[in-house]
Amino acid sequence: MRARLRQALQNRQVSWRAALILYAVAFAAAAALAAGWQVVRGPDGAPRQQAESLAPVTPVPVPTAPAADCGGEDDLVVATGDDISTGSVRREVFDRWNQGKKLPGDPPAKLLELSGSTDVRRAQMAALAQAGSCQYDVLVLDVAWVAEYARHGYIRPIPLSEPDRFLPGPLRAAEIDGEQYGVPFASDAPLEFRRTDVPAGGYLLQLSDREAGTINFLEMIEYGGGQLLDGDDRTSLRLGDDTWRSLASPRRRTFTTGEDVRVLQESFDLDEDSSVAAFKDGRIGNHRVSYMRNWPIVFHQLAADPRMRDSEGELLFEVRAPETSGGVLGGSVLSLSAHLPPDKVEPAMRLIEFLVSKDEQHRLFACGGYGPVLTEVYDDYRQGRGTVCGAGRSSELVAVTLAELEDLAEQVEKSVGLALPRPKSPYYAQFSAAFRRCARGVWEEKVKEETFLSAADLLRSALDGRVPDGQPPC
Amino acid sequence: MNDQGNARQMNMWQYLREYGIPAAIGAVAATITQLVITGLYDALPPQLSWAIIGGGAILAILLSHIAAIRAFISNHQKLLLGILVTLAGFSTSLAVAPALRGRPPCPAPTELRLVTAPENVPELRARAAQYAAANRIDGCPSLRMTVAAAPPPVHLQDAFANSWERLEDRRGQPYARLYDLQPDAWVATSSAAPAELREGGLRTLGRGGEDPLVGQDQLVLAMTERRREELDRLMKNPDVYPLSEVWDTLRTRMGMTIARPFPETSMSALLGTGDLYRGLGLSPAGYGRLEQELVTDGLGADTVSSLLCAFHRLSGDDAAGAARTVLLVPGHSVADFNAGRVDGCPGTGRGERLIAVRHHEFSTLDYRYVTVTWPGQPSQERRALVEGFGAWLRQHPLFPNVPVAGRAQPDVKELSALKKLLLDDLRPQLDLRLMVDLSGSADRPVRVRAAEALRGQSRILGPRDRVEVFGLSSPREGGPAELAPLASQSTRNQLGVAAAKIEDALFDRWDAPASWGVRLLGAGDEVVPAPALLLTDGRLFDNEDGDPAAAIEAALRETPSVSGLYVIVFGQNRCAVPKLEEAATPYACVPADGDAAGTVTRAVITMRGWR
Repeated sequence: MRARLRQALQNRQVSWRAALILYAVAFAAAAALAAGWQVVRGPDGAPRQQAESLAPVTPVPVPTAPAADCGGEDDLVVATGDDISTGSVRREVFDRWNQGKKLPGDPPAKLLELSGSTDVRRAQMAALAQAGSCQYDVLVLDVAWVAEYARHGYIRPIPLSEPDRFLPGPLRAAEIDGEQYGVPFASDAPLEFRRTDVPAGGYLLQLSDREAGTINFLEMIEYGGGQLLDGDDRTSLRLGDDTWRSLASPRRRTFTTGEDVRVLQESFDLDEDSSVAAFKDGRIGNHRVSYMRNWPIVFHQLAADPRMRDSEGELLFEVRAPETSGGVLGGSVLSLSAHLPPDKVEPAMRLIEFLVSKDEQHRLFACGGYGPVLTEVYDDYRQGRGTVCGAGRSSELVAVTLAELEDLAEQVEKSVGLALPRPKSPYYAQFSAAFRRCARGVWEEKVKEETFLSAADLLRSALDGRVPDGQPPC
Repeated sequence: MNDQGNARQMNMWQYLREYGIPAAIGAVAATITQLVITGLYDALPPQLSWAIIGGGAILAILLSHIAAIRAFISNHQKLLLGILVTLAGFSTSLAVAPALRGRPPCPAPTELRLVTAPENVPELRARAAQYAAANRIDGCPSLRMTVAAAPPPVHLQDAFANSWERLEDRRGQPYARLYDLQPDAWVATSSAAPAELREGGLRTLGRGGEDPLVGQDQLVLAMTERRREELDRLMKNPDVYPLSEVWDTLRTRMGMTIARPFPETSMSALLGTGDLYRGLGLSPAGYGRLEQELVTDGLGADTVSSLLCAFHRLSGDDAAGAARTVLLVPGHSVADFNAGRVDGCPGTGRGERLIAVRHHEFSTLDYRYVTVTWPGQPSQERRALVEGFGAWLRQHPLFPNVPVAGRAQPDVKELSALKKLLLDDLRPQLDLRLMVDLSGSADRPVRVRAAEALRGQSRILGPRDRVEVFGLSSPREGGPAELAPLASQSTRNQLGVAAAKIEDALFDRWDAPASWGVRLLGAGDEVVPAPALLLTDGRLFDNEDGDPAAAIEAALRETPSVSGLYVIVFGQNRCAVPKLEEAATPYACVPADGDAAGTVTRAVITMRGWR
């Protein structure tokens, strides 16, 4: 056989075997070349989509902040949103820290309010992290952004003493890939507010084109008996007929009375603040308002308004937690910036410990309505050891009473216990925008059932951070 | 001939056999290899794909024609097959492993921050989304762009010079606030605006040279469809008449009022007001009268967006009032209003529509893309991406379909002169008397927000303005009203002290009626009437004797030294006494919205004319 091959080769005859060998050699060479190309270009491969005739821009890696740029700051800067509590109670907490609670050698804490918009806060903090800035030391993060900040390297793991002190839901929400990236600061979960003096009115949600809209649509699905998110990280998607039915339903079963109540169409344009205004009015447009879904902090805003109390000072509304799971867990956590200079780590941790101490959590709840994150605070209210705000001030009775706070604490604890986190995806913002666009389309009757259900791939891609080619189905 | 033909065919067959077949085998091998290895054929640039295929073909031809290699192959077939099987296995594992792993996660998109005037936010947001969608790698967006409203023009200098932190006198308090989103780039409404800031000493804007032009528009007069038809009957094409004649027709013959945002807080309003001064041929003495008229008729709006929103509310509550109103706004804002694209104002587009009336004497707006450098944010890579978007925006400008045929923009000198005229010279001196409700119920809702709002007025007050702060309360329930001085006449540089006095005051007394606050103010020795601003939680209206509106009206009538009362209610979304039907003295009451400083700014600008 060898002789025949040699003869064939000598006669420049290409036999099948020689062809096979040649093929394999060419295959191997080309494979090496292509593999080499992948190594050179990295795992993402080369561009597929292009910005018209230009190659797309490449994301910027998160740089390491030069140590020289991080010295000299005398303050421990805490970046946060606007203090939305009645009376800016968070500032008082920081005052107490600076005026005697901090160690003498620790830098004073400086509260830097970035914006009232959660989207703007997220963008501002992320942009500074990407720019290598060490201007912010401690971040007050919306719990929805922790996965993004942790996986993209904007914040660092945080040592946590006595984790059992915290409510388990908020604590787990800040745990990413087995590590704790944030200490719960305020816990939030949906509550139902019902006006006892406005019978037979409709239900107000917040379905505006903001994050509140996403949250309300997610809850609409879950409370309506449907399902969308699944799995420990809530990153598995399941779109079925039940999802559609619950989302498209114009009615809602109330937590307080179990009635089926019409969701008012005006909800489509409302956010948290505007829905509170309508609830206080007891009316929106030509419709009466009896119910509202909102966060615990709204309780203090309502209770401080004289219109919301009768002549005896009794509240004209009641507040209830849901009986079933399906609410979206909100709230904020305290995180350490990835660019935090080493000499500020311990002072920052001491500040965080102070902010989540029992006394301060009591005060933040009693005076501001921020949901406590410590189980002990709820125990205190349950056992009659709770505190009220402003005891000792002598004039008009406007502070929320102990009985009212006890009831509120019970409802908040129950709702937080039943609430589920938003998807722990670093691309949650992308998912939120895509989902909200489709859900609002359903409410506007621009998106039909078939179209909505076909958006499953779009939403899965969004959770992976990808945007599919072509026009999105909704 | 046949033999020659056969010989040629034999030669062609031989060529094909000797070169074609190996080349084809090599090319196929290279193609399949790419498919296997990359998973997606078009993941490689087209040029490289063809080079690999060509390389495979040439390699195969060479291998089949080099005698030494052929002999080596024939002599070491087993060894070669072993090596090739190993290589093939390695290659296959390279191809299969990623498939088993799934697609790699997307890298973090780069965050870019953009600001522009509030009325431009929806368009810039749409453009940013378009650019982000076009810039994807393997489906992953490379950029995430956030667009927010820029601060008012009077605050821009402070914002850029102070790392976007509000410049507020805090007496050492450890708080600071940003002007919302700190931008990587600012889309300015006029080329003169960044130029003026640079002339003022700012070195952080742009990179030298002219800022890219990224859009154009023109100021227009907007009115309801019916009024536009009426105007059409009076002057077929307003653009061929002088602006003064159009103005006269609107004001005198059609009974309309012209509303624009305050020029302190809106660049387009500032430019539009300059156009009116010029177009109406007014003498300097007439500027003040017109300015006062524009403030009074302006619907109390500080931005184009809030003006459109106020008009939308007016059209719902008072259709006749809306029909009497002409808006001076950029042309694209009319389209935005009709399409329901006004940021922060849902519901527009479902009601009354607006029609734009263009006139060549109104300024064009040349939108400029201005990059910003911030200390402590050193990433050059981010900066390159910011500039890349600017270059793209220049090719894909804002408002491409808006017709523009107006006069040129003012240059820096003209803009500076206009600002000085409008914001310094024409504004009457303000002696403001500020009453703060010191009742216990006002402690939480009023104390901090009122102090913060006062701090935020340093750029709204002029050098001659003065603010005097009083605490209004009663020592016991239903007791007499007392007015306690908290801060004596303060200049704009002393607002921090005055604000601290409010924060340090004891809010531990009882509500006193607003009408008594007015009377007590009037009991002083002021000879020149001055307006009063009351900051309250709103409960004090319940303490009036009888009908609160009548009581306040009577107090204002009987107290000539108070030229008007403006009430801002904190913590509630309504006023118990929203207006006084028959009062000769000006009165207003508004709830403080989310931006308390903005609410006080609107009050201050409005009250200047209450003399």
